[in-house]
Amino acid sequence: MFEELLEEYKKLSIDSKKEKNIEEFKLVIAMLELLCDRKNIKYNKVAIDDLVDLKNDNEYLSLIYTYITALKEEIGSYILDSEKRDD
Amino acid sequence: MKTRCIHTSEFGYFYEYCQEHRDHKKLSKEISKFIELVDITNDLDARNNNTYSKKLLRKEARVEKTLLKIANIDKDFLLRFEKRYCLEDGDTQYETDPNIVSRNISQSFYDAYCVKKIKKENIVSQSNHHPAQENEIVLNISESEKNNVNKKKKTKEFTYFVNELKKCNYPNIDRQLNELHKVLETDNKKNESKTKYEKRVNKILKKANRNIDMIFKKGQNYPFRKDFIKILSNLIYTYDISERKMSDLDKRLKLSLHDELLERYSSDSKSKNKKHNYGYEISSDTSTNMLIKVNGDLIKEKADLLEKYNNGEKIKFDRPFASSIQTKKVDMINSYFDPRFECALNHDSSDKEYVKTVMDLCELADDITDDLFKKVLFDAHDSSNLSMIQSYEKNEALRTLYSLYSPNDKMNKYKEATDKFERIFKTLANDKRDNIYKLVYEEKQKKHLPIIELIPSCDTITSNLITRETKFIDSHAVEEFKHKALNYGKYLNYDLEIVARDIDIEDLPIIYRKLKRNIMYTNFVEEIKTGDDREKKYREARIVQNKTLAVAQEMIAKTILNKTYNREYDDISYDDYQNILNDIYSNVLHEERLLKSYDDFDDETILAEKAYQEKKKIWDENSAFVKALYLIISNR
Repeated sequence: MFEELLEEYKKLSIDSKKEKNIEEFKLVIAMLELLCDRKNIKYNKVAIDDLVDLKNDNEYLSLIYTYITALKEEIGSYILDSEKRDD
Repeated sequence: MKTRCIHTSEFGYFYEYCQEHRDHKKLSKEISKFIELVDITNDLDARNNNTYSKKLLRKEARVEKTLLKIANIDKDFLLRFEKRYCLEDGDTQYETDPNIVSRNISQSFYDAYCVKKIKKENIVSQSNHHPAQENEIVLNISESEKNNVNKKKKTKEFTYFVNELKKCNYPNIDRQLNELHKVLETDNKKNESKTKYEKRVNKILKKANRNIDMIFKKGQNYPFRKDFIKILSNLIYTYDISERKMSDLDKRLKLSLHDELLERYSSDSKSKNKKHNYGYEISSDTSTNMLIKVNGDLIKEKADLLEKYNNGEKIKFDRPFASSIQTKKVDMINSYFDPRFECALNHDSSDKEYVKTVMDLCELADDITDDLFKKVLFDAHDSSNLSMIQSYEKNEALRTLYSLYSPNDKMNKYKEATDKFERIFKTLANDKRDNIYKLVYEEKQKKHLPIIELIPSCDTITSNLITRETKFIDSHAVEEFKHKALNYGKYLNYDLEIVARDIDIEDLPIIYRKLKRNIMYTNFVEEIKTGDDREKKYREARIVQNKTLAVAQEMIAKTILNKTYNREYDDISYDDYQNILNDIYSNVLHEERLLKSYDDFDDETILAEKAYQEKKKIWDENSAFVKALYLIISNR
């Protein structure tokens, strides 16, 4: 099933692909933030700037890097909290 | 002792610019003449008011002639100067018409020496002045001129501030600057009431105030504080507000923005009232009976009128109320047989009669410029390139009227009238001529008319027409191109290629750069009507913006091509045509052609996007991630 989606993704323009990636990242980050907030889990909040120019690869890659870092922090905090509760 | 010209005016800069370029091969003779004229003017005796102003007027006329010669030999010389002058003056928009540049310099020349006269008078009236002071007097011109320049700058204080900051190109301030530019570029909306517009201006001002505050705060905290302070101190120096506090500058900038917006709105409303004066007036006339009358025996009617006119009869009709097209016809006839074309002067005519004739001819020149411009707009509105031509029959009637009472014919008649005037004027005694010059000068001062030429020449009319065309493109192009980019072709009002027909090829790339700037700072988000997703709106707005830019680029490139080949490229193959266009893009506009890629975008990428969304929907239905997300949201 995912292969079909990937095939269609491959046909998109570069800019559109970048946009889709950003959307997906945002969604995951938003979900984890919601989860942490619900469970009162504290995490290091990473400030994320808006992307101004899609054609600027430097800006785009920095943004992706920021998203990944934010994700790592949220997932890390969630796992640490779960471990504590298990103990 | 000859004094060196130190001025802060346009003329002063130009004088120094000429000194720098004395060895310019093509122009050396004209430049030397210009410098010599200025040096002679420096020696004019300012104590006798009358003689001084007469001499000054003559000198000014000669200076202007020299400048026009320079414009004819090498207009780039003047344009390069203008660019440098404007940039030094903190103004990124510079004049693109060499004739106007030369006129400005000449005007500035006159102003400079008028100031000199006043200064000298003041000093002469002091009983115990030191002789050395008199030399300083000429140098002191710069002070009062500086005030004038500052006054001019003050009205643009905010723009100047933004431009100064922009030059530094600091990444963290860029976003605020872009916001400020967007605020500045906010356009007046069609039929917007005064209350609504005031509300909107206040909103804009609030937004801008926030940005200015932010820039000030950031500027004081960032590592580049030193540079920021430098910019501020430049501003402080320029506007002589060293005594004031920093926050005063902030307030002044906001006030200045307020003034600028108000000014822009009022001028926008005026220009918008005039904007559709012609095209819509025509299409709103639904009286078919009137049309039949108009299309009747127009040629015979003109012949009868001409005969009556040649027999000395005055031709003037009252304007009817019934039909706009009939009114147009009467206006055309009345202006074609305007008595001001007659120039009924002779040697015995009094000075007052001469002055009246001069003033009449000046007004006539303005009217002809207006007629020519309306004709250009009519042609642009009537163009077959527009996808929807409004009311073909009515336009046909107007085309006939224009061919019979053509503004170009009126221009020829005007030339005859001015030639006749000059022939008589040349033969007058010097005293009489000087007196007429003086009286005309006073009259023009009262009416705020340009005093450079006694009577505007045909070249001046053409150059004024080009200025209006350029301004029209500046103010309407973005809107027109935006509609085209959004595929609203049928609503296009004007074919801008036609509006640009009198503009020199060399000026078109400059116009393109201005257009590009306008497009980049236009807010396209309001145009996007698809849903409330803000990000999606911004994304689509960016696409529309790029497409608009592509359309603008294509229009300018095609206009350049049409002008180069004078529309005679029927024998050129499609491939050659495209190659020439590509040449224009790379060698004249120095840019990559955008239109093709955006055409591709329409067809292929939108389809790809749709297919992706469909698959994504199916995927999401079974995705664990989406299920988890719903779970979290529902448990909230």
